[in-house]
Amino acid sequence: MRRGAFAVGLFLALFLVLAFLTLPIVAIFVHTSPGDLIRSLGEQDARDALALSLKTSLAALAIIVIVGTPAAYLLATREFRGRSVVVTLVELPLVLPPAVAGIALLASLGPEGLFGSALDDAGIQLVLQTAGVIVALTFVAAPFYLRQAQEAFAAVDRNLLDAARTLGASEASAFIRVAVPSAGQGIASGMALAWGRALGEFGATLMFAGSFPGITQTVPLAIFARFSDDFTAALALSGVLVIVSAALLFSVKLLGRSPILGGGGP
Amino acid sequence: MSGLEVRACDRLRELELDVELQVDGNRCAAIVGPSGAGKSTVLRIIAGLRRPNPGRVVMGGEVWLDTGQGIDLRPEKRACGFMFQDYALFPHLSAWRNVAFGMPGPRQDRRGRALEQLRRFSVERLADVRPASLSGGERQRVALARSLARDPSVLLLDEPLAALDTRTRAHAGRELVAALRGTRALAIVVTHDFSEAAMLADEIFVMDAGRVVQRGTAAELSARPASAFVADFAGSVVLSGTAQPEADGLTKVDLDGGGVLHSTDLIRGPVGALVFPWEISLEPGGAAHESSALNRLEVEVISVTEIGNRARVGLSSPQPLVAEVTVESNRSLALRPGVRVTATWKATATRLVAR
Repeated sequence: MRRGAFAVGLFLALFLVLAFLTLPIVAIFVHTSPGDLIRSLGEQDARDALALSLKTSLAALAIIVIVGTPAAYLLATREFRGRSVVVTLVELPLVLPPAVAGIALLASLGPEGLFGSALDDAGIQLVLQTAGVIVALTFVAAPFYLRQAQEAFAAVDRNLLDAARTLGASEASAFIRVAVPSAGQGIASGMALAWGRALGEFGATLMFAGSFPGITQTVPLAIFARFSDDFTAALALSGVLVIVSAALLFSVKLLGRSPILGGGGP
Repeated sequence: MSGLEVRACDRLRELELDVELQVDGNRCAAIVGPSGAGKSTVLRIIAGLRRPNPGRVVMGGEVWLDTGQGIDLRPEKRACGFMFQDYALFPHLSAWRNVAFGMPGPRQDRRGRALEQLRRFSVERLADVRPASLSGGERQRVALARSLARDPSVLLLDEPLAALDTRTRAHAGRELVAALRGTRALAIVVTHDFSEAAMLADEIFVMDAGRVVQRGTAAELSARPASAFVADFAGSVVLSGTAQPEADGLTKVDLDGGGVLHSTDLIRGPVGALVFPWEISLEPGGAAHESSALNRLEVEVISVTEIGNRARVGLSSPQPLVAEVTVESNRSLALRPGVRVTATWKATATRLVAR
C-alpha cells in the first residue's frame, strides 16, 4: 500500500515537471496558427534572422568541437598540477549572467578592451559584426560542451586506449579511433546542449554585437525587436525557433546512437 | 639473442616494485602472486604502457627500454600483443574490426585476414557481432585472436581466465594451452592461481610485494619452495607423465622418470598430474598395502619444513613431490632427508591436465 502511494507520488512529480516545462511551449503553438508560422517566414527580416542564427551557431559549434574536444580529452585523461583550477575556470561562464558575459567580452575584445587595439591592428573587427556574434555564442556555449565531453572521456575505459596502443595505434590515433567513438554518446549530447545554448543566446550577443538585421540580429534578438510592437509576429518567430531547436536536438541525439559515434546498433 | 629480459624498479602507491625476469626462446612463463603484488604492472612495463625508473627491457636482442641510455620505444613500436583482464574489446567495433584494428598491410584484404584469424579460434561466425553481444568465452577468443593479429614476438596475458565462469574456465584453459603452443610468440601469463600457472606455463615466477621471490617449474616450486609463502601459494603438486585410459574406467599415467599412478580424469597423451600436498599420506617404507588409496609411490625424503602444526615434506619420486602431514606424524615417522617412505593418495584426488 505504501509502495503504491510512493509510486503515485513519483508519477505526480513527473507530471508536474512535464506540465510546467511543456505548457509554455504548447501555448506558443496555441496562439500561432501554421499560417502565422509560414507568414512569419515570408518576411525578409525573419528569414535573415533564422539564416544568421543557423550560420553563427554552427560556426560557434564547429569552433567549440574542434578546439574543445582535444582540450576535454586532456582534462579527462591527464593528471597535472592545477587541473581542478583549470576545470573550474573553464566552467565559469556557465554561472555568469549573459549581461556579465557581454560586458566581459567588451572589456576584453571590444575597441576599448584589453586586446582591442591588438585586434584592430590585425584588422579584426568583432563589435557590431557577425564575427562578434560567433565570439559571443562560443563564449557562452563552450562550457556546456567541454563539461559533457570531459565527463564522457573520463568514463572511457583506459584499458581500451592501452589496447589500441599495443595494437599499433599512436596516441593521436587511439584518441580518434577509440576514445572519440567510445565517448560518442556524451560528445553528441554535449554538442546538442552547446548548440541549443548558442541558438538561444541573447544577452551577451546584444551587448557585444548589437542587434542589426542581417548582420547581428539572430532569431532571439529579432523576437525581442518585434515583442514591443507586434506580439503575434514575435510569437510566430518563437514557434519557428522552437521547431528548429527541437529538430536539431533530435538529430544530434540520433547521431549519438548511430554506429558512427559508437552508440547502440548491431 | 632470443628471449626476454626485464629489469625494473618502480613505485606504485605503497608498493615498491623491484623485479628481474628472464624468459628464454619461445617459452611460456607465468607470473603468479596475490593481488597487489605488482604482476600486472610488470606486463604494462614490458608493453611500454608504464615507464619504470630505472628499467631495462630487451626482447630478442632489441632494446625496447633502457632508462640509462634514454631509450624508450613507444607501445605501438613494440612487437607485443596484450590481452587485458577484461579483454578491452572496442565496444563500437564488430569482432572482425576489433581483430583488424592493428593489422598492417592493404585495407581491402583486412576483412579476409581478420576472418582467418577468427577461424583459428573457431569464432569466425561471430565476425559481425559487437562485443556486447558475445559471451565471456567468445570475448576471450576474439581478444586472443586480436592480440595475435599483428604476429607479436611477445604475448602478454593478464589473468586470461579470470573473467570467465568456473564451467567455461576449464575448457578455455585447455584451449589457451593449445593456442600458446601453436604460436611462435614468447608468452607471459599473469595469474593469481597457481594451478592455472602450472597448466599454462613452462616456468613460473612467484611475485610477492613487488619482488620475484622464486622462479622454477611448477613441480620445483611445489617440491622445494624457497619460503613458506611460496609453499603456501604453490598449493598443488604437478607430476608429468603420459596418460592412457584403461578398461576399468580409470586413466593410468606413466610418470616421466618412472612410477605409475591412476586418476579418475579421462584424458590421453602427455599430461600434468595435479595433487594437493594435503591429500598425500606417508607410510613407512615397505608397509603393507591396506588403504583404499590406489596411488602408491616409493619415495625418498629430501626436505622437511615445519609450518605451525603442519610439516611440508619434500620428496623425490624421482620427480619432485611434496606432502603435507601433521607435525605429529612427521615425528612418529622420523622423517628426515634420506629416509625412504611410501606416498599414497586416492585416484579421485588426482587431476590430469593436458600438457
